[in-house]
Amino acid sequence: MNRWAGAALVLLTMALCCTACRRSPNHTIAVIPRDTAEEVWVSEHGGAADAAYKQNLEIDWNGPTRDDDVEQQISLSERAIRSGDYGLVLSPNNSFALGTVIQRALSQKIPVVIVGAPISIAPQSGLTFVLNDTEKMGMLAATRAGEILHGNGKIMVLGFDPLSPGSVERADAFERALQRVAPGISIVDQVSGSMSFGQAELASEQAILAHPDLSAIFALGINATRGAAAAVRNMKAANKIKVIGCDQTLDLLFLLRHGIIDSLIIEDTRTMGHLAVQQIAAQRRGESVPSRRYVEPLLVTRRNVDDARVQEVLSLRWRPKP
Amino acid sequence: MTRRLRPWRKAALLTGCCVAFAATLILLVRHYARFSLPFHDSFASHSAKEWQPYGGTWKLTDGTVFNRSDERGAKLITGSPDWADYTMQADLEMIGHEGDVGIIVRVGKEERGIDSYNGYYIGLRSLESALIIGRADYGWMEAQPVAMPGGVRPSTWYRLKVVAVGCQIGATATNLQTGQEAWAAFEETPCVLKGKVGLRSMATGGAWRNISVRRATLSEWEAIRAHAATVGHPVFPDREADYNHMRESDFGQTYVPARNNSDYLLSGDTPGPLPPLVSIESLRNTNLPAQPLRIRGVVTLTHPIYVQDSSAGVAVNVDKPVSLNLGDEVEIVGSLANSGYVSRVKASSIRLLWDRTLAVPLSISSTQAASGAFNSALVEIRGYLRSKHMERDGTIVLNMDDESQSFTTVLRNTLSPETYADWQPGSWLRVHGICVLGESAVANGAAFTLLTRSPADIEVLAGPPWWSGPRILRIIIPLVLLLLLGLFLYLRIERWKMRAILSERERLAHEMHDTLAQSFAGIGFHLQGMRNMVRSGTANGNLTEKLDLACDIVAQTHREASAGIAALHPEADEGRDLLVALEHYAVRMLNADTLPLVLERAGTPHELSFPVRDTLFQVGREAISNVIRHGSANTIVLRLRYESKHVVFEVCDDGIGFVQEESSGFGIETMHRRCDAVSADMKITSVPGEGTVISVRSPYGRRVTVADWAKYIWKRQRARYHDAAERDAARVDG
Repeated sequence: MNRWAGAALVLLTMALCCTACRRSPNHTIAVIPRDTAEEVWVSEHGGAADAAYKQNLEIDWNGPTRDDDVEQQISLSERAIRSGDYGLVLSPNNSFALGTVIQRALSQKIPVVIVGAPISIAPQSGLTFVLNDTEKMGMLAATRAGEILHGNGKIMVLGFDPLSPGSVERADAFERALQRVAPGISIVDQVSGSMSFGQAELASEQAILAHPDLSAIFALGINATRGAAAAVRNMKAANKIKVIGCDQTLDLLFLLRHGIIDSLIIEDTRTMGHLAVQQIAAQRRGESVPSRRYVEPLLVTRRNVDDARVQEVLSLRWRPKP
Repeated sequence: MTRRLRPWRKAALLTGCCVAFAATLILLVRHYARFSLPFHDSFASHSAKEWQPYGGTWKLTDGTVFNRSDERGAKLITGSPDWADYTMQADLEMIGHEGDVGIIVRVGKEERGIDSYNGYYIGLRSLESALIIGRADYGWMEAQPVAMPGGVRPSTWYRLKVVAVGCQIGATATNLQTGQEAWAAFEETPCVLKGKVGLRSMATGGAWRNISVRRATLSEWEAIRAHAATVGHPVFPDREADYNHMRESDFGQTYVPARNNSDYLLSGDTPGPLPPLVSIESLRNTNLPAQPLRIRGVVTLTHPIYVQDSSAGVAVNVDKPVSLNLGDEVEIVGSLANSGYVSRVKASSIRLLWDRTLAVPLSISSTQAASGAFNSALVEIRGYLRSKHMERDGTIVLNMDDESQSFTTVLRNTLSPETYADWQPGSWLRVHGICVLGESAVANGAAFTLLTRSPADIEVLAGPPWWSGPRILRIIIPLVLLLLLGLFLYLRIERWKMRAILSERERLAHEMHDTLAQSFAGIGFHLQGMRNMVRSGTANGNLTEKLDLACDIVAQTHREASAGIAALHPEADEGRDLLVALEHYAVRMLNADTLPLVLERAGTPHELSFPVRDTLFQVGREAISNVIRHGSANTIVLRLRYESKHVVFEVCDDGIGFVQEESSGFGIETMHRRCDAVSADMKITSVPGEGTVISVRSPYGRRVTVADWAKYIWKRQRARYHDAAERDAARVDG
């Protein structure tokens, strides 16, 4: 009987040790962007890596290979939960589909920070937001449209996607700001739907044909901006139609430098990544953190693209800076 | 009987060891042969089992491996993580228009993702028509690209050679049609020094063949360096402005998208006036074969070609092979060629509109699939795997069921037939594929067929139930083996226990024979003598003398019996000081403090391990017993001296001593055996009339390990074997 009791005790101890090992948090923060290769997310990588280095933490940086791949984001998030990661920094590419996995992380006491755009879940214990200031983004775009169109003209909004986080907020903010700063400019069309580059190009071409007096396109995302730029160039309408785009990639910045795109409203994802990692560390230390923090975007034109502040946000350095 | 089995056991043990050694050797040789240099792909023999895909849609056809997906950063990796300096060469072709294809070297930490590996990528990029080279570590740093003479064009084969020596990486690219070449070289410090190799494509499909890896030499690197325009530490620009400047200086306007319709014509001639654009769904309601038509759709399968729009899917017939990727959005001009259940379009021209369009499979039930409403469409269906088989050409066929339908899933040109083993009958699978109704499916008794694109389209949601035959066998066989092993060990332990008991009984019998039995015989002899004297009336003063002698013998026997009983007490286990324990033993044995016992200690006391302490106690006990019984000593000295690595224990007496002979008594043999067990040396020095010194020098001892235990058993078995052999020999001689 004693031997059986001893064996049971050993097994119980081993099981408890295994459970304890599994549950003990490591010091790795999973950072999952919408897409890893575009410049906008490389900046987030750099910001998160810098902050983690200073906090003596590590980051596990990986994301889907396309910005509409929800399944890969869920899979990576679940891996972080299984590994008992120190925290999860997530930039969801769908407003609704990641709610369950976020709740699962919170139930495992893993702090989660949403970066970039809000989603359908409200802030709660363990869940905080570091967001792009979309009101400011709308204001920058509207002000720029007012400047280049001299307060009058017709503009189209391209890339409105209700399922893509931030898309609705950007379109609404732009509309509100336009009414305030340039009431003489009217929105003649709002093309919605999830868009690939080709689809955006086609939609832009059709809109240009449908509205001969169109004077500008405000594109809400990377693919929409690429498509708008390609359509304007293909239809030889570059002198007539200005493109104001959102978010930064190296090819969009190249087009901006060549005047094919008038301006880009870029997100300061470097600061967002930095703040997100800081928030995770602060939560783990038991400190209180604000449920929402907003980071201001920047307007980039050919005139200011080489400014130090703009180049700092656009930095390609993703390895931590000692 | 035992002796007859012993050679058989030896042979069995030897054979078992040889088989285990040979199996291990074969496995090691196979492993290292598989990943040893030089390495060459085995695509020609339709095998890529040593390659591991990370993303992409990889297939193997006619000695060439294809990725028909435009997924960014799709990888196929092989090799050893210990490969260091090597030259990798591969022929490659781009399938698509914008993107790059290449190879990766010194790869580690690989997983699915765009730059999710640690290593170097060398590739050909169409956008800049350049040979590019850079470093990935879950991020990307690109060095100065080198212009590729003649450009980087789809459907053109190039040969890429990469030499990695130390921290120097060099590459050459050769257009296999024109012979034009480009060279690139750079050094990075610190660098990744070793790792696997792989194939990689970025935002386009690709084809690779003739892949080889061999050891590299410095001269190969120097040959490339001689041609490369710039050598030195790579410029990994940190600032966007620097990056932009780096490209603009060499490649200028090539960055601006330029859409020329003729560039995107994949098949046929540029059509004249275009026929009306129709939806694919509308093709089902028309039967006008001669009528020209135009459709647009996303490619959902490349071999054979299927496209679908938001309304439906359709099969496309082409006269010549067309380089398409999954996700390409194409415009097809042609005519209707309906056959049986399947709508087909015979294409006269195919134009690429754009690429990287996501086609999401529709999740439907098997009955909906069987109804024909989703014919030729990309669907997702779940079902149980009933059975599977592989056809001669390597095509894998899975026969599946759900509650209402039976259907088949077909996978062609998979990378390795080994993937076949992953799908166990009884598993619950989720399959993405093109739903096809047709004669072949019906002939097999299935309602429809799902044509899959790669093994990634087949996901095991749940394995077969645990009570399935093979699984039960897999559980039972190890359990039975464990049970048999346990039984074997139990029997062996019982046997050892019984042997130990018998051995102890034998020792006790010897001791009783030597002491009690002989004493009783002596007493009996004296009593018999006294009786004879009383009967014969000769009893006088001799009787008293004999009575005194008998009393002495009785007293002596009593002492010896007490000593024997005391020896059986486990005093060594009581944790007392060794010398005190022996003193206590001696006192009990004598029943009085009649013998002066001197205890001496020298050196710094050191803790003794249990086996050593027990051995010293037993040796001391035996020695004291011998002195009391045979030594006629006046004093016994027990001495314990602690040295740096050894303890020395001595029992000295001033008794009568004895003449040492070659064959010693049972007690001394036992003492020697005990000393051997703890690697101690025992010496006996005795001179007749001058006493005896028994000295044991032993290491302090360590924890008893399995090796010690095995060694002890081995020695013991060997001694027993020799004893038995000697006894048998003596019996034969007798």
